[in-house]
Amino acid sequence: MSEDHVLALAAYLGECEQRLDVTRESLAGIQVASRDPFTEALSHLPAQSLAPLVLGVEKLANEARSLGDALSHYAHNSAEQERARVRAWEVPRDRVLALLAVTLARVDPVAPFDQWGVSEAAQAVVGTPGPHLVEVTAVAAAEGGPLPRATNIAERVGRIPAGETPIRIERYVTDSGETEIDVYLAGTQEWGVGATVEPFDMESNLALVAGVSAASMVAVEAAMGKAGVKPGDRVSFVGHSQGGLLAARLAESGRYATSSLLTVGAPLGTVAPSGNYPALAISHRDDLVPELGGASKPTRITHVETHSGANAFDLAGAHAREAYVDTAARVDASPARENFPHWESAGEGNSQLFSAKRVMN
Amino acid sequence: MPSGRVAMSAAGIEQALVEARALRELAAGINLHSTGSAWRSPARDRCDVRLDDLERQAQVIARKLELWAENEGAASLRVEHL
Repeated sequence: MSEDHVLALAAYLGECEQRLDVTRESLAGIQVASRDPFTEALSHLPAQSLAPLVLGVEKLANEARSLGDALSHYAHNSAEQERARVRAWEVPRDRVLALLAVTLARVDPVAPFDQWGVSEAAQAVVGTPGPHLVEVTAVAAAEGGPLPRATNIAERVGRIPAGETPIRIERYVTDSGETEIDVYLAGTQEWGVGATVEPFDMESNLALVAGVSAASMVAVEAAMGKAGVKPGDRVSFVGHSQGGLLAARLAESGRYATSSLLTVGAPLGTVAPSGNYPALAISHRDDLVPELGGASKPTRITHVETHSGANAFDLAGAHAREAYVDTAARVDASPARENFPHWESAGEGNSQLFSAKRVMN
Repeated sequence: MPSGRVAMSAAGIEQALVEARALRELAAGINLHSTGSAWRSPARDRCDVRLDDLERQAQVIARKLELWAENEGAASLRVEHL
């Protein structure tokens, strides 16, 4: 809950009050010896009473108690407002998204509508898809030849591929001798309704939100297999949009020793990554795609939200990978950078790009 | 020649220094906490101002106690050597 910070502080102030009471009693118990006039005159150090300080500590204790009470009151009020906001906005938004999905796909609800969320709606639309047949092909290595490992956020977002080759896998031996694999995943390539030859399509988006089998996930796992990535390998996942959702699901799968997760513009609402590894999610407030994941579940990953800088109503601009590269550069330059994931540097590694095509029945 | 009249007992000075350290630890603890960034409101801003003031006042009283202990320690030494 968001009020945890404030309540922890209020509890600490309660401890402060108790400790200050101990301090006040302790200071009040110190006997300040009186000096005889001869000693006083010679020492130039007149005896000072502790009474003003005892009074000061008593005031501090009172203020700690009063402030703790005010913070508790504030936290409870704010939490109530937050819950009201969720009731008024988040839940109806899920219902509307569910209604849209059901209407578009012309399917019958299988449960009372007021119990539906985004995940249930997405599942109703895609049904139980799969098994998916996907052809994955390794194509020429990344542009510009072998590159050193990307160690800042902007560089990593910039390496997310686009277009014909939505999967990029890099393998490095870091300066400390660890083998690290970086998997970069593109966003949705085909926004039409229904399955297409492109596995990174809208159907895969819905399937991932619903938590069922997705062709894009099959493609990524096939590419990782072709690149020699084995269960238990140390893998850092980076993804934009649908690629971010894929990255989060793979990071959480337990099949790999996930060493980090970085997503931009990803609809993570139904995933709730545990954050048992360095993780950062960046989203633009004016980007609608992250909202399509539905109401966010509690998660321990770091989430940076900011405005894209795109013109009003430029929805594509707000979601574009290029816009997120610019935002990532701002995050790199921010004073808070130390709190975000870091990646160990490595010299030139092996980099591969993969294309993927769905085999249509 | 020692006079036998000590301005302050060593135990009292030590006790004052212990309490000064406790006050500094409390101030540092306040500084480690945060009201978070989830909600912004005038009420939270007012609490932040009061927190800063509480932390600063704890540091001020700790410093005054340390000065008092220094003062009394020095006086004790002089008295001892009168």
